Amino acid sequence: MNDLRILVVDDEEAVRESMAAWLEKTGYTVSLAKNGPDALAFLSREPFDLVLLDIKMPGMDGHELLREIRQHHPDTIIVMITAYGSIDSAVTAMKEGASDYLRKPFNPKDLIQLVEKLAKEKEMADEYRLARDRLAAYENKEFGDLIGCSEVMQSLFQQIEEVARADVPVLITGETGTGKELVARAIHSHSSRASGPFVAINCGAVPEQLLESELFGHERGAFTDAVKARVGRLEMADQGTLFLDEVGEISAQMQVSLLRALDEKSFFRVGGSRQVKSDFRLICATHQDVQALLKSGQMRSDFFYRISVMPMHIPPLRKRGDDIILLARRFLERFSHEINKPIEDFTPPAYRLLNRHNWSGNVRELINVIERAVMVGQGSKIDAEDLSFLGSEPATPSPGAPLREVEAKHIRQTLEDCGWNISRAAEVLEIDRGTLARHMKKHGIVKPR
Amino acid sequence: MWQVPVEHRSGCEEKPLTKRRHVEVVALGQVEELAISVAAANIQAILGLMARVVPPWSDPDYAVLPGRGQYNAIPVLKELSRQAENNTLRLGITSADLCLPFLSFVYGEAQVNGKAAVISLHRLKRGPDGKTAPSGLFLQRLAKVAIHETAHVIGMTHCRQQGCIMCFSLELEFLDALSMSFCPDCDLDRRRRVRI
Ligand SMILES: [Zn+2]
Ligand SMILES: [Zn+2]
Repeated sequence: MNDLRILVVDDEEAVRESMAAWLEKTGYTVSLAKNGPDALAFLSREPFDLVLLDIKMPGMDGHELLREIRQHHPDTIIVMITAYGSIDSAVTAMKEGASDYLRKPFNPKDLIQLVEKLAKEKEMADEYRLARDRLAAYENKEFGDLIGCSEVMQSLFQQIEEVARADVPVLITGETGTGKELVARAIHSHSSRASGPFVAINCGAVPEQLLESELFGHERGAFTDAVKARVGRLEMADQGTLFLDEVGEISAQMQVSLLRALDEKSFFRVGGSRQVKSDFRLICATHQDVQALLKSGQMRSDFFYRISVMPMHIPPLRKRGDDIILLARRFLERFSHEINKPIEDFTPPAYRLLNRHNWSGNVRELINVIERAVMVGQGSKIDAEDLSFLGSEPATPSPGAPLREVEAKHIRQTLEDCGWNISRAAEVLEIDRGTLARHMKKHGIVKPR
Repeated sequence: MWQVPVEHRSGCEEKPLTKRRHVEVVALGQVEELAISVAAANIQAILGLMARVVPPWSDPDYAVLPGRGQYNAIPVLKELSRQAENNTLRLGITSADLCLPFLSFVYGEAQVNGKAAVISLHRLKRGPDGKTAPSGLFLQRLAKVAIHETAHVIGMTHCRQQGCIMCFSLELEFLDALSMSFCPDCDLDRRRRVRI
């Protein structure tokens, strides 16, 4: 049972001791004070949930004490105890902030109801506090838009803070969809440049011949299409952070230009002769194997060493353990809210499916999967069936495995992914139910019980 | 008579045989004998503490509250616990109407983790229509209150589990609705405490 701390303030010993005896049977903690100063001393030592306060006391009377307690312990609930015929006094006390009053001798029912009500309220308040704390703990699992409870992510969050403090170039590596730009943004927003701009460009998405002017800008007439002068990304990023995604796509020539711009904090626009100053922090990212890029000469080693003063690696989702579920729930919450569809959770088979999936597309793939599942989901929970398209990702058979083995494994996998719904599995495998049943029999595949 | 168990504790000096903890059920003034034995039997059978009836004490009129005509349960408890031997708990039963200085009435009162409890038969006799309750019903109420208050003495506190005998009874109807048993949680607590 929930513990309620009660302070009884009464100058009459008989009342004090009988109240203590009676309240003790409720299992709550009871303290006794014989006057105002005594009560205030108690209250300054420990918090109380309820003060049962006698109005008429010699010295500091109930009203005075009530005001003192209201002022210094506003969370404490005060119930006045009055003798017969002092209703006016009780009404005054209520105006002064007492929650209620009881007239001596009161019915046990009134006291127990009062105490029970308080206990229930406290329980609810405690529950709320607990939920809030849990939420706060959950929020700690987030870093900007990054979410993760796994150890690898927690240490990544720590690293972001450290990296943010140092104003040097960062190279972020990680598979596609792991959230490299989110990490770059987090570094920016935790850095001294947070009030400056965050300028991002995906070097792989811009045609090679346009990338140079995109980065450095150009002067009017620099080339045939350049009817107007244009400010490049480097210039835009002045006093802020420049994020170059897919930096492995940049040509060797451009690597040299960038290197110079970094060293001199100034550069020329394409077709320009005027030096443009820009002070930015460079964060680069790539999903490619940097060592391979260096070996093949696609990335200059001087450029690499210059941009990777602080290297960071984002782990793939499949290596992030519980994060898959944490993220899945978070995205479920978001999408179901967005389209106003009350889907609360995943079914256990759906959880299994999510946990076992390879997630080669990482968080981005997970987001797409959950969004799609929320769209197609019919019940209050996302079921394995709603995630059946996950099963279509080809299982990677070990090289050289016998066909028979691969077939059995694939069938079993598909069945599991479809929650052992034979019709659905047959559909996914593009065979009819009868054929699937025959294959199951041949391989001795049965639904686990 | 109850068995006197032989207890030897290694490492301790040889002690005289210790009597097992038990409850003395005592009438305070004029109380029907049947009520006393029913209380004792139920404490032993349901609470699981040895109980025996001892000769009656005089009416606790020292506890009368002036102006109210009721008996304050606190001085009665003090008197009952006075000079109670080790391992002896006392349950007093009175026909007088019990109350506390701040409460209009109580069916019974007890010292939590103490020595004594006292119960009043005064209100238990009331029937639904204001007449006297049938004897069976009255004895059942008495047994419940006796078990409940004695359970407080061994340290048990109120329970919110519906029907559990450790629920606080506001009214007789509520008392009548209680079962003569402990809920699983309370029963675990009871066993733990009775074994001590
Ligand atoms: Zn009780
Ligand atoms: Zn109970």
